[in-house]
Amino acid sequence: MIKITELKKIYRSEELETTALNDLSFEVKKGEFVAVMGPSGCGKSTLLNILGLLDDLDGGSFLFNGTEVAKFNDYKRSDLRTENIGFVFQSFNLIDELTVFENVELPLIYTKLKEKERKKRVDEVLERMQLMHRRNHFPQQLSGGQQQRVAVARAVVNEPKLILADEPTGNLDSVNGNEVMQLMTDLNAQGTTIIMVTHSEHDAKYSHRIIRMLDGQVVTENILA
Amino acid sequence: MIKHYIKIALRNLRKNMFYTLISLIGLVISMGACVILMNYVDFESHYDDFHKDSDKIYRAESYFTLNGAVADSWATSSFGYAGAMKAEFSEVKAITRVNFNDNERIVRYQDKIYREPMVVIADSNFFSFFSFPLLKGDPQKVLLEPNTIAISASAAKKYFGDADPMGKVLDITTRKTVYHCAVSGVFEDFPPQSHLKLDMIISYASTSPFQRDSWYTHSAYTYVKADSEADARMIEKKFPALAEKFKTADAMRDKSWEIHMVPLADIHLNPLKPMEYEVKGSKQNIRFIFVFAFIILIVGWVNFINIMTSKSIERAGEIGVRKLVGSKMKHMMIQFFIESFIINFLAVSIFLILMVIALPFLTHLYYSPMFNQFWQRPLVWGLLVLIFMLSTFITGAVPILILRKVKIAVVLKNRMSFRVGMGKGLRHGLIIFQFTAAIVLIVSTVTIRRQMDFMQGKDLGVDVAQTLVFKTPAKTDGYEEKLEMITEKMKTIGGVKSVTRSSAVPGEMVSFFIANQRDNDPEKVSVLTEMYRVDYDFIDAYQLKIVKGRNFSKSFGADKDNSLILTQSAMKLFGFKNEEEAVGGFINLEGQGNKKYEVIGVLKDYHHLSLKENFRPVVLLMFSPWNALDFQYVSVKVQGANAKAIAGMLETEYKSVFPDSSFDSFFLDEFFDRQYKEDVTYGVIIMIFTWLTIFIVCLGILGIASLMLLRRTKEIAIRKISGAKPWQILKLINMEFIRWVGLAIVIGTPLSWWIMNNWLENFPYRIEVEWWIFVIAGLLTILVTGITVSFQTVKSALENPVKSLRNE
Repeated sequence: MIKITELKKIYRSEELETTALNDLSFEVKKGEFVAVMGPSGCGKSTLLNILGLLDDLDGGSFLFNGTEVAKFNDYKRSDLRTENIGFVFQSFNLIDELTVFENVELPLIYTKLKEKERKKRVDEVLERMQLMHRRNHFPQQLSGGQQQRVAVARAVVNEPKLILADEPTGNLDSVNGNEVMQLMTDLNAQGTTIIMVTHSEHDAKYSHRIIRMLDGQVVTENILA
Repeated sequence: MIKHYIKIALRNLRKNMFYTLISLIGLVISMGACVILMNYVDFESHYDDFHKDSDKIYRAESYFTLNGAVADSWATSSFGYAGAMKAEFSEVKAITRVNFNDNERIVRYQDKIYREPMVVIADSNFFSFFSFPLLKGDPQKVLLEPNTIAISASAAKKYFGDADPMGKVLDITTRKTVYHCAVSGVFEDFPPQSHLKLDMIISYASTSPFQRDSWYTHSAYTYVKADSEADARMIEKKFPALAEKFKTADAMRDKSWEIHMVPLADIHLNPLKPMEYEVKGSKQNIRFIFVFAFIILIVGWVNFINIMTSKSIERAGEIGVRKLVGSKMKHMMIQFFIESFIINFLAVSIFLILMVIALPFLTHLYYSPMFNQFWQRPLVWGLLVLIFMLSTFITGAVPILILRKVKIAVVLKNRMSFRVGMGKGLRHGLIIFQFTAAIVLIVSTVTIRRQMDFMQGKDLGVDVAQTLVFKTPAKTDGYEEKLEMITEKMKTIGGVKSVTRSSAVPGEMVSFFIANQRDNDPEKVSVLTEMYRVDYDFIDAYQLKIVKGRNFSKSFGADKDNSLILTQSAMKLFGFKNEEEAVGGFINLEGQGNKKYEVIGVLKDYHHLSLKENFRPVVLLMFSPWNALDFQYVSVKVQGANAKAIAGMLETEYKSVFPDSSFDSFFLDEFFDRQYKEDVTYGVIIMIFTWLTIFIVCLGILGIASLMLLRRTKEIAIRKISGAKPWQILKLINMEFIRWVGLAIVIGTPLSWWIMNNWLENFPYRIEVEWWIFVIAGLLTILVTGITVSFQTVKSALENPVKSLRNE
């Protein structure tokens, strides 16, 4: 599904040049659950941003489902993202002014789905995430675990082929963390490819494969299942 | 999707109630102020444009030159101009006259007697030349017959109630003549934007031949229709030669008679000329208010933009999420324009509601005509729609410009890490613009106020206080004797200090011009002076100062018909070197042959008119040359606080002698001060809108301070951890603003100095723009800024730095 070859990303400031990703190459197959680990500053989040088409790359190739997307413009990236990728963040990134329902509905707003269809899809996802009773609440009225479940619901509502998760349990206690990881596992079991950046060895164990990074390069890969 | 955005916009507005309110208040004030001020500008700038062919109508205004220099300039022309111009100039397509001779007349119908201020005589084509609608009568015929009159709808109501006025006869009296005119037409009251404000119009055929064709007295307005500007200029060019053929009497024969063809649209805003009867506007004031209207609108927008900029940081996270899940530029534009639409729609709605509430009160103000039919004025709606659209566009586009650069990856990792993309220079420029506007407006307000106080407080050289003036009655048998008798009788009323008769009173132009010569002047130069008929008591009653010579006195029999007293300005105009030379000198009055009149005294120049005018060359005399200079006023100097009771007694005495005349009186100080009314109103408008602008600027400062504190949360926390006291934090933030105020002072000081000096140039007697006004403006701006910024900063200065850092 994803094949990156000799990926390069350099951050430049006036006086400093930092290589975040240095000729990085790897492949993720459809249906895989991959955990990316490594110390702070090793380039994990940069990698995730590039995989999510949120950031430009400075060199190398990025094939998504066999299509070279490295040179896509903003518009095409946005379309590709909307159709194929869901995101889950450590800090949830819900919109405070929207209810649970509206937050989850958000990705569908930008598609051509009719309101009735949107409502059906959102309710199904909320049901699956056991959030129906909270559908009219605002994010501030929910616990951290619930907020992250909303974020996951939003990520999956348009049935993406890939979920990119950036430390999804980083802001959660262990009980809520486990719940979210279980959700991810279930999604993966239903066929969604997941790439998750994490510091947690515990969370990484939910994945099939662990990629360890250092200084913008892959140092080891461990296959768990 | 639209529904989604409307819902979100409303939630956002509600959630950020504080910001919503200050944005809304700023927008309501700036939009409203702009609409009201522009309506004022539009009202003042579009006088007389309701006439068909208004762009082809000119008023022929007289001016006289001597050796190429303008000797005098009047709005009026002589009666004979019209006939001769029509006959001789092919460029004249139509011509009509309005004759103001004795325009204040006592009008009587049965037992109803009123003094009407604007009864004129006009040519029979008046109603076809202009577009004043006639309610009754035929425009072609209404003023055709002798002894006919057209009256306004208000006058018809006043004299005839609901009865049909057509054919009914009104007695119209001056001090010397009586007309009996049948009503031949009723016209709609002239609209507020007409420079002509007439109550009654007598047909020209009713008057004497002298008033029809003579080239002597200049007391008619002559209006000309010409096809083009070039034709109008051609008429001007040809006129002096025509005048050479017609100017008859010895009046100013030595001067060249010329005319200016003044476009109808320019009359209202041109400076006031002698012999001009309408209330004038001021071009300069209008220009200033026009600029002011835009400044206040821009200040409102700047304020809103600053607040939006401040809020954009908080919105960055939301925009990041939206972009992440598929929102594109067009979606962002829809979202922000909807938000902007809603807030601007709210602002316009609030303004409209406020106007509905305020309009009944506003129509009682001096400039109420501009609020008449406020809702019917296309400009109001046009401007509201335009401002609404512009405002929606600008206030919607700014956050888009700022947030379009949001990097999803960055902003989602740390929402606060987003930095406003808008150019720092531009933002600072906007802030400095606001402060500069505040400083210029404060300086303007203080200067205008000081000039008004100066004019109203300055010693005029004439005492107008405690003076009750009443107008002399209409023609009756034994008029002069009766008037003298009543004058003497009034002197005996308790509380009356003195009583004096005169042809004019201070505050009203003397305006009886004749061209006189110094006796034995080898060059025979005619000097145009205003002739002021007074009695023995006038100079003492008004406390005028005689610098040389003596007052009129009953001890000198010749004074009654042979003596003159000159003001110093008149003395200089006649070419006397000094008072010593003037007293005992002789003057030949126009139309009196070689008869010599002796100068018996010289008066210190006094301000007969407001301080907006220079001293006028005035000749005081006790007689009436050609029987043309009547007493028009009786001034009663009173003492004590019971002036109103005295007025009652005066009326009783008056009515007993003149039962057929109305008693019309006024207090002279109020009458005199009406000359400043327009400037006082102007000052009040500037003051009110200056404070409103400063208020909006304060709202803007709140927004900027909030933005700055958001940006510097981490810095403030670290400073506090490093030992900074709350007051040091306050100082830190305040200094940033004071720096901008400082820059604004540097820009605003010369700018406001220049603007105010320009404005003051209108006044011959004026104050200096003192240095301390700038100091006050600067200090006031610093003070207001300091209070506003501290109000916003104090919370951050006292906040636990650990909490701030955790949030950061």
